[in-house]
Amino acid sequence: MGEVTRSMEARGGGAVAAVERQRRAQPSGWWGALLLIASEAALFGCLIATYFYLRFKSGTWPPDGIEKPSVTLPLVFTAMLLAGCLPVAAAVRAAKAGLAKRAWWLLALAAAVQATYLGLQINLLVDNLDSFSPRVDAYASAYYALLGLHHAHVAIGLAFDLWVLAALARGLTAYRLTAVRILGLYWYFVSAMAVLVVLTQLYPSL
Amino acid sequence: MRSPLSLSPESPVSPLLWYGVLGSAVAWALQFSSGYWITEAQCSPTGGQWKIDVSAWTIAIGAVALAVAIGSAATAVTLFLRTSGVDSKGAPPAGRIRFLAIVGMTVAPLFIAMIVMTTVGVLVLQPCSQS
Amino acid sequence: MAVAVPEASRERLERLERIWREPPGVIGWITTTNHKRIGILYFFTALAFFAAGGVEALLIRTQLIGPNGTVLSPVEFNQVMTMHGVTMIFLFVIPMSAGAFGNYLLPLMIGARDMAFPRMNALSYWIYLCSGIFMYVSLLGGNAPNAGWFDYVPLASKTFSPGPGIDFYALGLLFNGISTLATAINFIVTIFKLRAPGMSLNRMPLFCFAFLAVSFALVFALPALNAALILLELDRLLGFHFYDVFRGGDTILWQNLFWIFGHPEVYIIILPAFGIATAIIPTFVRRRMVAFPLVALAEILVALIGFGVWAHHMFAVGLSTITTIYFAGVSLIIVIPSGIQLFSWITTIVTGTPRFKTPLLWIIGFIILFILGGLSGVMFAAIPFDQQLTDTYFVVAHFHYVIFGAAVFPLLGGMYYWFPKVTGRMYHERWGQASFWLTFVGMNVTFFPMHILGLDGMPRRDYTYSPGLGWTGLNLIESLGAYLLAAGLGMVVVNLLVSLFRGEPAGADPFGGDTLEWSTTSPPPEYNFPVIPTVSSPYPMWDEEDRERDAANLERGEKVLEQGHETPASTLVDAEWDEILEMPSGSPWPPLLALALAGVFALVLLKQWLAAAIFIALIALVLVAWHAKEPAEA
Repeated sequence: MGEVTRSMEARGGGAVAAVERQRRAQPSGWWGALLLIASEAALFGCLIATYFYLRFKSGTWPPDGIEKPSVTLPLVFTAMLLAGCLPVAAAVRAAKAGLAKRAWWLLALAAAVQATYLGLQINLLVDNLDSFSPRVDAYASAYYALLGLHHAHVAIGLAFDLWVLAALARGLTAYRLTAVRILGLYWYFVSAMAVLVVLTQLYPSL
Repeated sequence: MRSPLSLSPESPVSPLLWYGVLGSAVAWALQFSSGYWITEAQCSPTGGQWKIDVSAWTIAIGAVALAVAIGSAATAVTLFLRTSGVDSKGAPPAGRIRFLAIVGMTVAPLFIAMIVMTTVGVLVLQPCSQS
Repeated sequence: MAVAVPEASRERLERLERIWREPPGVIGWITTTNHKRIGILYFFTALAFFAAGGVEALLIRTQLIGPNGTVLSPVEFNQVMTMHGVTMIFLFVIPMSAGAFGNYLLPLMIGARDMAFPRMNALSYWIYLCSGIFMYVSLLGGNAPNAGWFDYVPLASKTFSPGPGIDFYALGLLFNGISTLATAINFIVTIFKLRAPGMSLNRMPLFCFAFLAVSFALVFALPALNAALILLELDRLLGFHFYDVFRGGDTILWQNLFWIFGHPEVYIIILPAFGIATAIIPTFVRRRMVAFPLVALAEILVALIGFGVWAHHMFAVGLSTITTIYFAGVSLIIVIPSGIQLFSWITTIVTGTPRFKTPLLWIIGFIILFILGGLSGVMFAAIPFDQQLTDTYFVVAHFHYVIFGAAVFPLLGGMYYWFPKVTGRMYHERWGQASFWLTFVGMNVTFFPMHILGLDGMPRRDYTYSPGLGWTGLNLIESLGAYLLAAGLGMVVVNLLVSLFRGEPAGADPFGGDTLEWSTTSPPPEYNFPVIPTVSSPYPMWDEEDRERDAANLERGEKVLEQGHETPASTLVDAEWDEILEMPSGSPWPPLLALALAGVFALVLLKQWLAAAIFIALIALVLVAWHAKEPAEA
């Protein structure tokens, strides 16, 4: 019984790292976030299924009047987002080891990559809107809904980045470590969804 | 970290144990979802364009799913026999393994039945006739 | 058995009480994060919506009491009929079973002091309340949704339903869904992480298995509904074309997405009732449940297989035979887990020594009604049968037998069963039994004739019918039955209300219960357990040695966790003690967040995008404030 920690009391890198080494089960918040992510993944699944369901009902895809999507830029951007997962993973490892400052800089780097990604994607989306609107037909509706859902998740991720950076700047506690780990889970999820979304988006051209 | 295959059923995260419990369910879920999509694709208004051989795919997927599910059942039975004499409400790990083995042995026949019924059903019925 | 309290123990209890006490009065209730208070808030709110849904039902039955009814116009009937379904399913049965019973009892049954996420628990309640009010606002001005509780397109599209009713439906359910998802996540993490050390998965009460199944089903089913609703609102508010056949969309898409949610939803409705039944039966027959592992797995299996049957609601829609056969096959097999549970319950009752008190009567009624409802349900798995009887009163009979008979009867039984625990007073036994019989008879008189009406061809959702079709007599009987049913339910409410003020003091364990909630005082203290219980079976109250060990631990100060707002966390499968968690206490942020969310949904309904965006920013600020105070500082 003496070995059981009061984990929430850990403050500062050393104490937090010690709690991490000792725990056998992941923190409640981490599991909760994983479940929320599972639910969101199911939502994306439904939207991707909708896209292909509508595709099966259609003769030509995309329907006449809409160009097939260009392949290069979306793939490049997605690779960029995936690359952004590397500093995220490193940040989580650093935070678990109690290295708050290193974690902070790695997260800041990741946030910069992610923000650039979002900016570039929104730019591309606005270009798309110039050539066809979501109100044209079901293909367009599915196309923009899928992209819009994904970009919304990225935007929320960026807001989450900012909050974690602000919290982490005040030092490391067990609570904030869980936040960093959850942030990591979130970005792995968004990146995985980015791959699925881009493959779906580019499917007519592949 | 030890390799997953070396984790004995005593470990709460033993892949062997969870295969025995969930293997048949996963096999069914994958057979079901892929079967649904294949029939939807082939039987949709423009489905003929891909010339999907529904029967061939159904048999292939059904066979694989059946094999996985039977394997899962066998694993559960093995674990059940290995824990003979243990109370399923007893202390972990033995009690927990027995409990999960009972679960696995009971669910596997149901999922096997579903896999077989739906595979046979698809083969027997005329493809893409409206129900 | 009551806790005998020597001096050192009394000091510990006082310290725990000081630590866990919440502010008095209304402020305490608004900022509460205590799972029992939240359960009580859910209970009364759900009861109010039950009454609303009941009034809607009585209006329907009064309109149909004779041919060419004039009580409700067709327009009014469609709204009342839709709101009846939406209210009963989304605003009564799920909040009552998960929000009230689940929240109140789960931590008690697993030996914990609170849920894993107490503030999110409060948020679930406030969002539920706000979403219910949001949907009922639609009734003002006669703008309630009117396309049935499953709201099919193209009727629900902007072309055919230009008014705001469907937007109230879609946005209201999106709003409500946030509450339910949060509750589900809370339950799963609580059940996996916060069980008392020693309560490994195979020693967890069956009630908890049922709620675990419900919660997993919700996590994966709600996204399908959310997708369907989001696409609908994109079509309606922004002119997209998901469901628009003329522009490449598909109306069956709605049905697929809706029922991928909708079928698991009906198992979500019934699983908590299974959990309540498995809690009541062992107590009143003084026997452990027969085939415990099989009942546990059956509860999870029903939820899992429930995801594979959705298109049996669509057998008459024109899908190909090779698609529908998948659903027919799975729909036949899904009967088996329910059958396993039925056999186990019946065997347990027959081989035990039953005491036919009110709670057990409700459960026996439930078993009978569930068998009838299940049989009429499995008939629909046969596609030719379904194609004759879909959209007739046969379906209405079936689902009322399973929803009312099989989901609500255990809820009523559970209200009686846990009434002494929650209030400290005993209900009146004779009136309780009378209320059961009146409700049971009323229910059968109302819903059994609907099977015959369906076979005779009466379609569902008809606002009236002509004389001379042979339907008049049965409709009259059903409407009279509905009044009888209402009287029975009224008797339940009156019994509990009167007993609240005049009932005999109940003590901690009036029935000889088997699970841990019966070890506390009635009502339980804020901190639930003075000592974290020692557990070695799913029937902890019947393990005398463990309970004696608890008393000894209290004396010695072991496992009391009195340094703060504390509860233990253990490993997920085997429940080995892993850490001590500091839990948050009262917070104003959950109700404020719920209000901000209500603002967002209202503004989206009104198409005020900029204002809605401002409220979203507000939500972000509230979330920051929420997390500013970390639990260790609270």
